[in-house]
Amino acid sequence: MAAAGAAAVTALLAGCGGQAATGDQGPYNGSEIKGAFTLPSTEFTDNKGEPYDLKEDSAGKYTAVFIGFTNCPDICPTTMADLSQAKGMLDESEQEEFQTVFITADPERDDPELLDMWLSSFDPSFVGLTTDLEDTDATANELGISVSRPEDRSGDYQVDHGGQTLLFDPEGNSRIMWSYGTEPEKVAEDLETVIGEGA
Amino acid sequence: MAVRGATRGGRAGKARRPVAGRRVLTLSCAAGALALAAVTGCAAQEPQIETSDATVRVPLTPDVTSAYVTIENTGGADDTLIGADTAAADEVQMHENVQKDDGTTGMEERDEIPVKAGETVSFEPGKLHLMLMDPDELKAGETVALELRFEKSGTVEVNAEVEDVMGEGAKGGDMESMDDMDHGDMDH
Ligand SMILES: [Cu+2]
Repeated sequence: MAAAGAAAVTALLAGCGGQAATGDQGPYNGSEIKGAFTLPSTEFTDNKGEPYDLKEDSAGKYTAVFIGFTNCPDICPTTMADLSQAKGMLDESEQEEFQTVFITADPERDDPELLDMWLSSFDPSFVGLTTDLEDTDATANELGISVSRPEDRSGDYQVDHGGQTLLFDPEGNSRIMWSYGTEPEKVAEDLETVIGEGA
Repeated sequence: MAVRGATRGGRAGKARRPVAGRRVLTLSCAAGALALAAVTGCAAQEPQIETSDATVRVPLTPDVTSAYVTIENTGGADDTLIGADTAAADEVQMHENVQKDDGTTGMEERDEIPVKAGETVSFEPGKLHLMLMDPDELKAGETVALELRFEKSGTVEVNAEVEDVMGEGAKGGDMESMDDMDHGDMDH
C-alpha cells in the first residue's frame, strides 16, 4: 500500500501531464481511433504561402495533425519537439511516409511567415497551416479537437485548445490519438507499427 | 553555419534530467554562505528553498517563452512562491496547465504557488511553467538569472540555462546528428 500511496503522490505531482494510461488493450501506445475522424477538404495556406487542401495534400502519407498556436509557450512546442524526435527515431523509408501538420488555432496572429519560423525550430519539413477563423473552427470541430479563444483578443491572449495529436492514414482516415505528453519513443513505436501494417 | 561547441549530453526528450554541476543552492538562513553546516540550526522553524534544473527555452517567437525549475523546500516551515522576475523579459507570469471541461488544455495564471515544508514543486512542461513575456533574444547555452520571490524566504536567485527546445544538434535540419539511441531496428 505504501507503494501505491507513493505512486498516487507521484501522479498528483505530475499533474495532468501523464494523462494516465494511453490506449487500453489496443495495438498502439496511443488510443486507436480507426475511422473516427476524416480529414476534411478544407483549403488552407501553408507556411510557404502555398494553398494546401487538408485532405488532398495530406494524402499518400501518414499525417500527424495537431492544432495549436505559436504563442503557446509550453504544450505546443513540447508536442512539436516530441513529434520531431519521434520522426528522428524512424528509419529513412518510414520517415518518408510520415509528415506532421500543425494547424494554427490563432490565425489572426499566426501568418505563414510566423508559422514557418516557428516550425523551423523543430523540423523544417513540418507543415504549418492557416485559414480564417470560421474554417479553423470548423476543421477543429470535424477532428474532435476543441478550440476556444477569448472574446477580447487585443493584448497577450491565449487560445485554449485540445492537447491531442491525431494520426491519419494515407487515405485521410484517423488511426491513432496520442494525448499530450506521450513519449516520443512511444509515438515512434506506434508509427512503426502502423506503417508496417500498411506496407 | 558555425559548428556548435561542446555539445551537452544526450537528451532523451524532456527537460527534466538532472544537470550535473548546475545545482544552485540558495539558503535562507542568516548565515547564508556557510549555511550547509548550519542547516539544522536554523531550518527547523523556517522554510529553506533549494532550486535545481532551471532552464529557459530559446524563444521560438519574439512574444513569449517558458522557463522551468525545480523548487524544493527542505526547511521546517511552509513557504509560498509569490512571483518571479528576470531582466531578460518584460514580465514573468506563473502558469499552470489545466484540463478544461470542454476538452481543451489551457493555462491559468497563478499568483501563489505553495511550497510546503519537505515538498518539491516542479515547473515542467505540461504542468507548471514560468511564462516570460517579450523575452530578449536568448541563445542556447546562455544563462538567465531568474528571481523567485517567496513569501518568507524572500528573493531567491536562480541561474537558468537557455536550452533549445529540441536539445542539441537538431536545429536547422541536421537530423543525422540526432541521437537515436534505444532504438533497436536500425538494421542497415
Ligand atoms: Cu503560459
